[in-house]
Amino acid sequence: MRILGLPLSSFIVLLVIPALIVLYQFYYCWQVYTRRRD
Amino acid sequence: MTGLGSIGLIIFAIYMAMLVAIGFIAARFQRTSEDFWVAGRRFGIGLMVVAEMASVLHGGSVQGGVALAARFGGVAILPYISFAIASLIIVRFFAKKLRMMSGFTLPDYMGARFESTFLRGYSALIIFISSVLYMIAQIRVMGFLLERLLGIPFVAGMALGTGIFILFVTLGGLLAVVWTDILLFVLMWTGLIALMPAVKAAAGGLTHVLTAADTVAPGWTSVRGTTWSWTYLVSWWMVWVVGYATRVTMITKVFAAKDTRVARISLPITDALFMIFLLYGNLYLGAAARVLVWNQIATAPDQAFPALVTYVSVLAGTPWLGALAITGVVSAAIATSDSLLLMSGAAVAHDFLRKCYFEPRGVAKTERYYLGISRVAVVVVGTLSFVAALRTPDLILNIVSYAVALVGVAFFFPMLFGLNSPYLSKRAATWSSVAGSVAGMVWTIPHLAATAWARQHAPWMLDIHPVVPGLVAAIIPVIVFSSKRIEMSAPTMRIFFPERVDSPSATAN
Repeated sequence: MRILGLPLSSFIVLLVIPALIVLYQFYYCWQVYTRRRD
Repeated sequence: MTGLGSIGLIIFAIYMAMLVAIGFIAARFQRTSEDFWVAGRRFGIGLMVVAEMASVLHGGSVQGGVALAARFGGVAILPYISFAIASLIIVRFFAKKLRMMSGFTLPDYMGARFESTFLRGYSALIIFISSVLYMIAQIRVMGFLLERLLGIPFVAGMALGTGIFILFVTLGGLLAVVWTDILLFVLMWTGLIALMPAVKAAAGGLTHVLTAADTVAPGWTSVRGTTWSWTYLVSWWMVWVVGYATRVTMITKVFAAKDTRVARISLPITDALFMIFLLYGNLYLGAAARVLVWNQIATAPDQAFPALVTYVSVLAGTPWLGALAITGVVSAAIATSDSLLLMSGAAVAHDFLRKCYFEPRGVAKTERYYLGISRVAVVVVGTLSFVAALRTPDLILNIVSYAVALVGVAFFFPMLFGLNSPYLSKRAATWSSVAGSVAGMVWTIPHLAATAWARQHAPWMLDIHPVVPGLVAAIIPVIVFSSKRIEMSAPTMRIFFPERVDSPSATAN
């Protein structure tokens, strides 16, 4: 199975996992931006 | 690879003139050493994002990235997991307190947090050596590129490029570095994106070219790429986590942020954009190079990017577009040396002279004096690097790729634990920094000087990057010398752990 030309394992390692970590960073920074977190 | 002739030369001359002009304009904003080293701490989120992007997405990341991807596989060489984890570490654990301490450099942090002139000096020495070594290599790369692509003689090209970046860094400090990085970043990516239709016409869309790359080079899109072992891949990821989290060009920007919120919020935006840009700049172009031009450059994979650009632009009947893209990347590669020059200059003028010599002896000097010293240091370090670049043994050029990663080993744990726990002592931080860097350097020997011996007797050593044993050696002192007592003065405690100053458990002296 290929997604965007990548095997599934490569797709997960290259895009899915990093995207989840970056999303968490955005969540954390949103809290900083809205001053809910110092 | 043939030269790009007069079109490339004209574009290059215009770009260089712009850099010098920026230096003169930025010089008008320099009054104090704070203006010079951290641009007066005035950066908002927008400027921080562009400045951080420009410092990580430089010419080398495209040129070198396409070459590596074409050779080893596009997924293997792109450590996105590492970028994301490292960025998370900076956002979550480093940025706020580094900005709170209002330092100029990483040695400022090491000296102030652990109240140690030795640690400040040792950190400055590591940054100085690695920056100068890296700068020597960059100056030589600049000479080769200018000779090969624009026909400028090797030594003249090195002298021209070095002279230009010394001039604008001396005049404008960090502000000039950031403005030139941004300008070249925009010019480089304008050229690369303008080239996209020509690449697509020759190689097809993303899905098509990735599938084709897997056909001509089985495993190209797999996680381990065409040749890497799991051990090497995990090593590669660890190197990038440590290297990216302690990347001095990024940390310097944190010091220049307007406040602690800007220092943090800019980072995930940078990280996300950085990864999106590299999907095109490394993955797509790397696959296209493997499919279209690998037969021409299999013996010299470093030529992957210029060979691909020349091939597709000539095929599309627009060679000037190729000249624009390559000149943009070459010019941006020149600009990577400016940050290195600024950092090595800061190590001499700010860390050694001001913080390790004048201030501990109670010698009072004006800001004007320190600004002057900063400029002199930049000129001297830049000139010495150029002279050293004229005759450099190959071994030194090989050391460079390891020296930069080893900077991270020296700082990673003292930053991670020192910024988040008041219990990390001066002794633990000093031994962590020294043991980590020494172990990493010793492990580098089989990689560089004793490769044949290692291949015969201990091939597994070559599979593990020196950063890994460096990290192991660096964590041991942190564990062994960890203390249940807080060993820092009340003023330092107030800077780094203000929330704990009134805590009854604190035994600050």
